[in-house]
Amino acid sequence: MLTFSSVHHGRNAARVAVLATASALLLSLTACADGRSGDDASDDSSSSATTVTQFALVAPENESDFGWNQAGLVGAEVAADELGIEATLVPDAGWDNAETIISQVIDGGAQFVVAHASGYGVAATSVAKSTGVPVLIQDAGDNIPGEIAITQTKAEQGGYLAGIAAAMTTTSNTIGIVVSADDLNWFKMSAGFAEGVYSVDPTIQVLYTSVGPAAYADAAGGKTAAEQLIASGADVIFGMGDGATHGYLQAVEAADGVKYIADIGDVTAGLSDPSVLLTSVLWNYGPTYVQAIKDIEAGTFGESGYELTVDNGGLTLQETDNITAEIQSAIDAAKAGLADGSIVPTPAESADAVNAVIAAKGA
Amino acid sequence: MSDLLSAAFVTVFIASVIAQAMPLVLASVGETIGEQAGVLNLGIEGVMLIGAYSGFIVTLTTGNFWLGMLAGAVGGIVANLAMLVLNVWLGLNQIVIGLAITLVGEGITSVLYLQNNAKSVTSLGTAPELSVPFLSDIPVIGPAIFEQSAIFWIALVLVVIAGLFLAKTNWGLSTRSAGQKPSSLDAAGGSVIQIRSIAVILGGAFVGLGGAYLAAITTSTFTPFITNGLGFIAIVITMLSRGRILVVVITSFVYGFAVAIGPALQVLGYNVPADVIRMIPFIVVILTLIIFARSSVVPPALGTPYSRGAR
Repeated sequence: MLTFSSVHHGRNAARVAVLATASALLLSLTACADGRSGDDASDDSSSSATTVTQFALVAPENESDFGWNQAGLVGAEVAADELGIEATLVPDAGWDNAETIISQVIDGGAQFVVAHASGYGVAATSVAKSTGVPVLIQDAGDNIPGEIAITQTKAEQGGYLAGIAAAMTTTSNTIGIVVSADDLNWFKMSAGFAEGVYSVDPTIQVLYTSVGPAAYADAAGGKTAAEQLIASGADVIFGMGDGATHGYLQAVEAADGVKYIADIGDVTAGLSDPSVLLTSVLWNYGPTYVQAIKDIEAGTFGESGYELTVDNGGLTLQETDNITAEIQSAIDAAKAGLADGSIVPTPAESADAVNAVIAAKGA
Repeated sequence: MSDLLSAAFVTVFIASVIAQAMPLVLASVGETIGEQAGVLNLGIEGVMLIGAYSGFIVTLTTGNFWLGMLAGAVGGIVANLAMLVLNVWLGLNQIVIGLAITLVGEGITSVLYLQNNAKSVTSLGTAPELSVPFLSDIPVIGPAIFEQSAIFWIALVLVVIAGLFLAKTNWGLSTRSAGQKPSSLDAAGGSVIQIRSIAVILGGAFVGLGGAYLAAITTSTFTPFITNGLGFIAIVITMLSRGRILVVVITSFVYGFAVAIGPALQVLGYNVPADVIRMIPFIVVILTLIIFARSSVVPPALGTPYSRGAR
C-alpha cells in the first residue's frame, strides 16, 4: 500500500513537473504571440499614417456562383488593379471558421480585410478589435472608427431598373421573380423590381416564388420553381440564388422565348445560349473597396459606412444585345430619378412586404 | 388564381412531381436491396453524389444521356465498394463506414466540380423525349407523363424488376434471409457474404442511377451538394417501406408532390412562407413515420456484420 502510494505520488509529481514545463512553454509562446499581434495592432491602429499595400477578401464560396461571391472577388481584383496593390483572395472559406481565417490573412500581412458575408460580421468585428486591423463587413453592425465599417446595398434601386427592362421586354404581360432564400437584399431587389415593372405598365402580372428559406444551392428546386413560373405564362424571369441559379438557367434555356435577368454577377459563362440573358443587376464592389482603402490611409475609416447605389455606380445593369435603345433610354431616365430622389423604390425587408408591393400594383 | 391554374401549369406540376420523385425512387430501391440483405448504408448521400457527378460529367462530355446514366450506375458501384470491402468482407462498423462514404462523396464531387466545371457551361440540355402514341394526347396528364425521356421508363422497368426479384425469386429469398437470419442461410448452404456482396453492388448501381437521374434528367446540370439530403430521406423511406418496393415508389411520389407543391402555391398567389415550403416534404415524411412506424420492422440482422459461428 505504501509502495503503491509512493509510486502513485511519484507519478503525480512527474505529471506536475511535465504540466508545469508545458505551461511555462505555452505562456512563453503566448507572450511571444501577444507581443507580435500587439505590435501589429499598434502599427495598424495608427491608420492615419498607414499606406495600404496589401489587403485581403475572405468569401464563403467562390466565383462559380455567378453572384455574391463572384462580385466580391471581382471587386477586390478591380480595386487592387486600380490602386496597384496586392490583394489576397480567399474564396471557399466556408462559414464555420471565419475568425481564424481572417486572423490568418492579417498574420499574412493584410492591412485591410473585406469579410464578404453578412454571417462573418461577429467574427470579423472580434478580429478587428483584437488586432486593430480595419475590416469591412456586410449589411448589419456598427461602424467603429479605425476598425469596422459596414457595406450596405440599395438593392431595390438595381431591381427597379431591371423591372423597367423586364416590363419593356415581356410579350405575355407576365413576369416571374424567384428567390432561393429569405435574404434581405433579395427582398429589397424583388420589391424594387416589381415597382419598376409597374412604373411601365401596372397591368403586367408579377409572380413571386421562393425555393426555400435557405435553399441557396438547391439547383433542382430552383429549376422546378422557375418551370412553374414559366408554365404560368411568365416570359421574363428575374432569378436570385447562388447555386440555385443553375436550376433557373436550365428551366429558362429549355423554354422557348423566355428571357432571364440575373443578379449580382455575370452568368454569361454558365449559359449555353447567352441570348436568353436580358440583363443582370451587377453589384460593383470595386469602387467601394477603393474608397475604403483611401479612407484607411486618410484615417477616416469607420466614421461612416458605404453604400452601393445606382448613382455611385455600385449598381448597374449589364449591357446585352437585348437592351434596346428604347429600354436604355427608359433606364437612363429612371437612373436620373433615383439620383435626384424623385424615385424611391420600397426597400422591402420580408416576403410579406414583397407580396404587399406586388399586390399594390404600383399604387 | 384560376387564370394561373391552366392546363400547362398542371402539366408542368405533374412533370415536376415525377422529376423530383424518380431520383428518390431509384435511391430508395438501392437502399432497400442492401437493407434487406442486412447492410445499412448510411453513405447513400455520398453514393448519390458520386453517381450524380459521374452521370453529369459523362453526359456533358459525350452528349449521350444513356452513357451518363450508365456512368452514374458504375460510379455508385465504385462508391459502394468501400462498404463491400470494409463491412461485408472485413466486418467493420457499418455506421462509421456509411458516414465516411457520405463525407468522401461530398468532398470528392465538390472538388472535382470546382476544379473542372465551375467556370464553364454546365448545362446538359433536355434528354430526348419518348412520346407514347395515343396516351401522350390525353389532355394535361398526357404530356406530363407520356412525354418523358425513355430513361424514365427504363428506370421504372428496373424498379419493377428489382421488386419482383426481391419478392418472387430464390435470390430475393436468400437476400432477405441474409438480413433476417443469416445463420439460417449459412446453415442451408447459402453464402451470406456472397449474397450481401451482390446486394451491395446492385444497391450501389441503383443509388448511383438515382444520383445520375437527379443531375441529368431532373436538374440538367450538377452543383456541389446537389442531393440536398435526398439520400437521408431515402434511408427513412426504406426503413418505413419494409422491403416493399410498391410502398417505396408511392412514398417517393408523395415526397415529390410535397416538394413541388410549395413553389406552386406561391406562384398561384398563396402567400406561403418559405420556411413552410421547405418543411412540407419533411412534415410529410414525419407524418408517414408516425402513421406507419408501429408496423415498421427492419431486418433483425440489419447493421450486423456476419461472422460464421459467432454468437
